[in-house]
Amino acid sequence: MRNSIPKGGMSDPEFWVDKYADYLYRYALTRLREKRLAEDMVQETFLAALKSQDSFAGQSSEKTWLVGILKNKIIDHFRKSHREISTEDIETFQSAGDEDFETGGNNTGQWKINKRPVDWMIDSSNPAEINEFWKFLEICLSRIPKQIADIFILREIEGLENKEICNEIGVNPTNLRVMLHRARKQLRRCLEVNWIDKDDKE
Amino acid sequence: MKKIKSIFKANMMSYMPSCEEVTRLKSDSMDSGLPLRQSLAIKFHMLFCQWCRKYGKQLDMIRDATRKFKAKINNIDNKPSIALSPNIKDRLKNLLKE
Repeated sequence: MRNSIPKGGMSDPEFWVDKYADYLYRYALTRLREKRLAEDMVQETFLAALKSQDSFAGQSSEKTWLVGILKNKIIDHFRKSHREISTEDIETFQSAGDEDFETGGNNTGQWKINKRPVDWMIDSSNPAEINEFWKFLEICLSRIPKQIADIFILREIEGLENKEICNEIGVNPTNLRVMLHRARKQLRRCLEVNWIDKDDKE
Repeated sequence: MKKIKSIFKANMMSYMPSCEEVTRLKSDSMDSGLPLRQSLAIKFHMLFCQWCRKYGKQLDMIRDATRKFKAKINNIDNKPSIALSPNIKDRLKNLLKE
């Protein structure tokens, strides 16, 4: 009978894989949005767990422990990724004028007519709508600069506070605020054009 | 009371953010509390600006839907379509046995 793992032992790795691999994979995939990368992360997580199994003395649930290892690896990945992307790209993205708003005359700062948000009629209590939402959000995430998308993921999916993101990833607070603002603006727009308002593509 | 009202009004009138600023403030408000003046300013702006009002609601919707989706995939007993292939699992098991 295999109801629980003996404390301090990954004595049956097969059991652990059967029980947790899919969950860890889903977790990784939603953050990383790349299948191969997510698979690698799951593998590395199990390997790391095997190595440090002595430190798992049953203080938390097995799942929590494994997710903790995975989460740290994901954050490490985002940290490296953030460093690699040239700061030039980020600056371009940030300094690009906000094309959604008027820039001259009396209407400076107001919504341009063709950029005004439209009504969204979403029933977020409907599971099918939530699935569809996610499908389109993933598409939209792939269309904004990767670094911006990663930041959005860390904040909204991983649930890190701004301060934590700054500390873990090494981005300064002002840039972080700008990146989140841009991410939200672009994602909202992309969702509106491609999902909500499909017939009115610009 | 009249004095407080007029000070309040004068203060508010001197700070009337544009739609562009309001979208930025809305985003900031989702990560940390805004100073009172800004917080009141965007609420006031949204009373009269339906587009910023929609924008704000939609950012909230995106956050809400993201959380709901997260809750779905977090459910370990969920039998979802997203899973590792048996091949990969076998490879993983072999790897761990070494």
